[in-house]
Amino acid sequence: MDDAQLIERARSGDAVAMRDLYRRYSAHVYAVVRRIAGEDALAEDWSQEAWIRVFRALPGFRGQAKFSTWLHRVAVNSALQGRRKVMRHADREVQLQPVLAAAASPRGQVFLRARLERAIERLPDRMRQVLVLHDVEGYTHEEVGDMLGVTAGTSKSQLFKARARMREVLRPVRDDSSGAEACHI
Amino acid sequence: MPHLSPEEIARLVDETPSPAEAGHLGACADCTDALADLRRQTAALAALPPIDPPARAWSRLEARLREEGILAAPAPGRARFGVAGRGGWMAAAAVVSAFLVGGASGFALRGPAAQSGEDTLPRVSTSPPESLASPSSVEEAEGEVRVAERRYLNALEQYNRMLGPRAGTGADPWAARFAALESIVASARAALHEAPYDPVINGYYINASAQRDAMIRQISTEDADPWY
Repeated sequence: MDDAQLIERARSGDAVAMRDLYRRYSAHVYAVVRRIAGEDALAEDWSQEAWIRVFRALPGFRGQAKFSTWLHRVAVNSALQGRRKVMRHADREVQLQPVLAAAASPRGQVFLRARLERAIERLPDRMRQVLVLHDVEGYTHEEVGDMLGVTAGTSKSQLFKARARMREVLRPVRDDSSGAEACHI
Repeated sequence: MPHLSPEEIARLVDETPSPAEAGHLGACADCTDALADLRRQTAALAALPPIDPPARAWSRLEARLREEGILAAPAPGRARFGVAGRGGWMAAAAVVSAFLVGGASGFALRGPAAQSGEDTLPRVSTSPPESLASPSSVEEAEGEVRVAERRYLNALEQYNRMLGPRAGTGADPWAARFAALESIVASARAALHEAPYDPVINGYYINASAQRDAMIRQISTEDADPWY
């Protein structure tokens, strides 16, 4: 059954159709919310909130946008709103310890995904949001700026800082190149 | 000329370098390597896969949808999917606790026998131990599951310490074990969609998830090779 058929049935309160829509997209919703949230407990609540909003608004969904696009945007907004409410994490400075290493080995390949996820978690909130929305989810700086209420220039600036921090976190412990010294040229 | 700053290099992942930056990159291996690292990092981020939500997430969502009137109340006797009765959930939680406590006990107590390598799976108790309290609420039952899970992980860490490092097996046993655990977690999660309150499947799911997460935690702090 395609999205349009499922949506039509879900609109009329068909629980099976709702569940099938959920199954089809839950991992995509959870992924973006989890990466913005930076932790599982919040992500579970916020992704549930996103789904509630979607199912509540479904009767008014006219299909001008693809369902998956609309759903994704609702998920991002739910996560960002959730994050704004959780002030205990706001502006936290994360201690940057080189936590990563290893992907040249087979084990490293296996764990690459987990290492990236952990490095994302260690970014300060705003940097993490911009990095997830731009580099993971593929939004433009203009779209990221709209979602976060900042300019595209600010989004760019945060992204570059976030990428640099990610590399710092991912860099192997034994790599002591500081990047601050002068080139020998 | 000083190195390009980390943020300047990060910008060059998306943007064309100025003539001065291009000139520097042409002559500086450090900055060129850093830019290549950042390009690999950005490509890896774009390729991150979706993340499955916790197995019970649909049940919780469904309960909320019913609370809010978005879904109609369930028909009496409905069992296809949805929110189980509280008694059913508590019974399942109690059995899962028993599963984990039994598994942890067996795992922790086997000690040197396990080093022979012929059987490294925990022995699963199928009957609740005498000391297992009967939970009187969903919250108590959830608490028991969490306590049992912590006990299980502690016992397992002790077990792994006793085993020590294994070597000389050719293929990387960690990678193989991690891949196997990922597969079990995915299978168990899929099975839970069909039977969300089955205690045995819950046990497999919790057990495998905990093991996989413990491996991730361990590898994140012990390895020192470059990731790229």
